[in-house]
Amino acid sequence: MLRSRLLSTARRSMVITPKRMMFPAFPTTQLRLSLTPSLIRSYSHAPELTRDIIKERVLDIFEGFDKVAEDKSLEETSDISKDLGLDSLDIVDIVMALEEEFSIEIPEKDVPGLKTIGDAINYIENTPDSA
Amino acid sequence: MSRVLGLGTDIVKLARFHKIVTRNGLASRQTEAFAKKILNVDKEMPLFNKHVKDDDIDKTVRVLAGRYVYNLRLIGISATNISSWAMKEAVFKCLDDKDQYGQKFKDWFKYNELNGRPKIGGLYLEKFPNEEFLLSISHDEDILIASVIRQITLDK
Repeated sequence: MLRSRLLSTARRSMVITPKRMMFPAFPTTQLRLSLTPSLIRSYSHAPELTRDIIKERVLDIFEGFDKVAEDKSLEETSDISKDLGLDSLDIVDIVMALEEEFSIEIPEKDVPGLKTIGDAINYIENTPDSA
Repeated sequence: MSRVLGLGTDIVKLARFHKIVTRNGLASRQTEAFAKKILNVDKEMPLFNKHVKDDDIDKTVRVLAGRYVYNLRLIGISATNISSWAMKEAVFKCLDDKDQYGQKFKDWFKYNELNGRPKIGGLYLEKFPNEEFLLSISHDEDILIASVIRQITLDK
């Protein structure tokens, strides 16, 4: 229904030429092309995962973690254990949240390298499958 | 003759595991992922899966945290294997710095000898057969503590 409506509207647009535009200053083929509806569907893609977006989403995870005090200032240099007071079980919980948020898997061998919030951001930035 | 190489201890609140499991849902993909990070696939995951299937959150939490009261023969597991977050944390603290890196929780497991004495097994011990890990676990309501001594048998 929608498609036939679009096509009929487009056909009308192509054949009706206003008198004042009898001699357009640009090639009419361009006009016709622009009025022809595309039957090819273009799908939108996810926005590029920039470092700023990663940082914002990572900070959201830490801010939403129960054990992290609400008034705690979170910086990229914040040490997950020393500054935020998270222990090994908390870190497993955080790692799982990061995995869920960015649709990745963080192998256990890589976890000791995530000492600061910045380390987590860098890790996700350097993981190609992050989404 | 043996020589002590390391000592480790860890203390956990069962409520923390309960909270994680409750938040994600007992039979959820997230809880299974959490379990797979901690439990040995062959020795411990079957017990976890059994309790999830039974919809028994308390026993599931005990498997994850390390408290245990089971007759495992009833569920078809040959040895008395249980998981223990606390045990594995304590084990890691016994290891030399260079050996701590790269260790995985799921590469370790606890089992009991026929007389009930808890023992620790894992890939590390296949590499270092002269070493052994002595384990003691105790709990009081919601608190569980695990102590581990790592020793080497010199005349083995």
